[in-house]
Amino acid sequence: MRKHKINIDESTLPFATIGELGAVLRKREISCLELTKFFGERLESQGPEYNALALSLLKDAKKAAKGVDWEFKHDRFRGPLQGIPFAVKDLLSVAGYPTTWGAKPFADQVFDFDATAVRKLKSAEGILIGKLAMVELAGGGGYGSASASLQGPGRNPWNKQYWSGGSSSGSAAAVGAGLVPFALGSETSGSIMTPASYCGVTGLRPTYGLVSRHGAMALSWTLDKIGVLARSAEDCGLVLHEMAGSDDEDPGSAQKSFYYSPQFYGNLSELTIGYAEVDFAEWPAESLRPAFAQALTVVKSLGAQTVETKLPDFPYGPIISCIIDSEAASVFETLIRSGSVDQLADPKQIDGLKASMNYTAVDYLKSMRVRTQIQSAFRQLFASVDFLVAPTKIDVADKADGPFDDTVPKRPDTKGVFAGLVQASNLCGLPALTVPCGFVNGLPIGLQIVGRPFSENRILALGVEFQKRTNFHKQQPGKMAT
Amino acid sequence: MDGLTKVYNASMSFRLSRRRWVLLMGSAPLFAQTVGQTAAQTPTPTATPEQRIEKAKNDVREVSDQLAAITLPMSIEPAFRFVA
Repeated sequence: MRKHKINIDESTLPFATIGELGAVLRKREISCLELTKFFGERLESQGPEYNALALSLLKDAKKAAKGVDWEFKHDRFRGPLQGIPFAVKDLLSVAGYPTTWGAKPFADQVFDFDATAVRKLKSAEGILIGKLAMVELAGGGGYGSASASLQGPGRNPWNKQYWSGGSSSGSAAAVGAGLVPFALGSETSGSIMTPASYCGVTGLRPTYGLVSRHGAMALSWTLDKIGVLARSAEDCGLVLHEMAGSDDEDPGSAQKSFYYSPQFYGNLSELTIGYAEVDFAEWPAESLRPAFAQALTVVKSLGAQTVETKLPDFPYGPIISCIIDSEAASVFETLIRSGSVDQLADPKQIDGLKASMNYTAVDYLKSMRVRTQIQSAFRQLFASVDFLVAPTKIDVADKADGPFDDTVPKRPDTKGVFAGLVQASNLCGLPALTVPCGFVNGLPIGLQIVGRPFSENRILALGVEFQKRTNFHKQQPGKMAT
Repeated sequence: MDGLTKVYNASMSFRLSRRRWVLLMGSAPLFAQTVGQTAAQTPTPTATPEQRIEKAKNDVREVSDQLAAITLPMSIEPAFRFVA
């Protein structure tokens, strides 16, 4: 590994946190330009191994980096993201460059403005080095294999035969492989949580409306959220601090600010974690249960009170499906009616989008009315707990090649928190954090923490506490500590 | 029935027959589409495009039927608001 002329070992860089990279930048142990070149060249050369890279922006990034070096030279420190390279899911527009949405019909689409989230991170002097691969149209219509993407199947940094997860496939793989310190992703129903869990990185899905959707492809107007994938809960907080906030360009903006201040979340002993033993002991695949049992032990040792609980009983699946499909059918109506939808890579997705046109207004409105009841039920649930904790996924990643395994394994009759949590928490617009909590056969598993609306500081604080007691988030592919 | 369920049951009143409930719970995996997990049944490898699209339409019909089985008080409004 070559030594930088300013005497830093580059082997320390790929998996460093934002704080660690910021420290070496401010101490001038490495220039922003060198750091940008390091990550940008790494993303260019290794990104394709994981089908993670949609477009390198290294040329523009180097210009931006020189500007930041000038700022550092004159002791103008702007904040923790200053000089930190990052990349974004290719559903976020970057002015003058293709924004493909991972889909062939939009391969040449170019916007003349930056998405608000991108603009804000650039204003914080983060250095945008690339756009990352995604499942086409963020999975709208449903998809039957990992190959549902312009770049092909997202590959897992821990084992390339396995899928990175989706639809933020490139974002998770790039962070997981140490190609970029953090990346932006998006979630409608699982598209940050799943790939972050599969790739062993920390993922944050903010409250609906906290981060502007302006400039992001819409899949479902009332469900889409822009979020972060990074090396730690703290890093997620630092990024959210910069990109959250009101935006008149986003009709769904919550018109709220966010300041990362986990030190003020309150005394953990006064907070309550709702969980279900069955989620950790019976729902995961058998080989995962010991690791999840250990993760639950750590959760119980965090100092908060813990209480067995369960989710309210609702048909979350049909409700969220109808909402996503109906809104997606409207978003992509022109694509579907024109026949261009046939250019998508995944046949199941093509069929699903076409069939979505058959939902009626009454179907959609019924779903949205039940959604009102779900929100009410969750408000009552959160009157007795401050967090809900469950496995993020109860299996490790699927194989990357070939169709997904469509056999439905036998699940326990008893439901706790896990079953339906991703769907329910998305329906209610709740924030969630997933943190790595173990490895099974070399593949990562994750733990999800869900909170009330706008409780990001609290869930991040719980994530930070979990990560103080574990080192799963520090593991590197190919170098796992025993 | 635990206390939590009693609290939320007081404020909602959608009714499902036991048969419909079993159908809804069993079809939950069908709908985890944006996380990439597929439906419980997929067409055979030799399915024609017409069969595949018919299957997709049947999936939509099934969801529509499940939604139709839910009864709600008229007072429950959709989870969005129009502001003049």
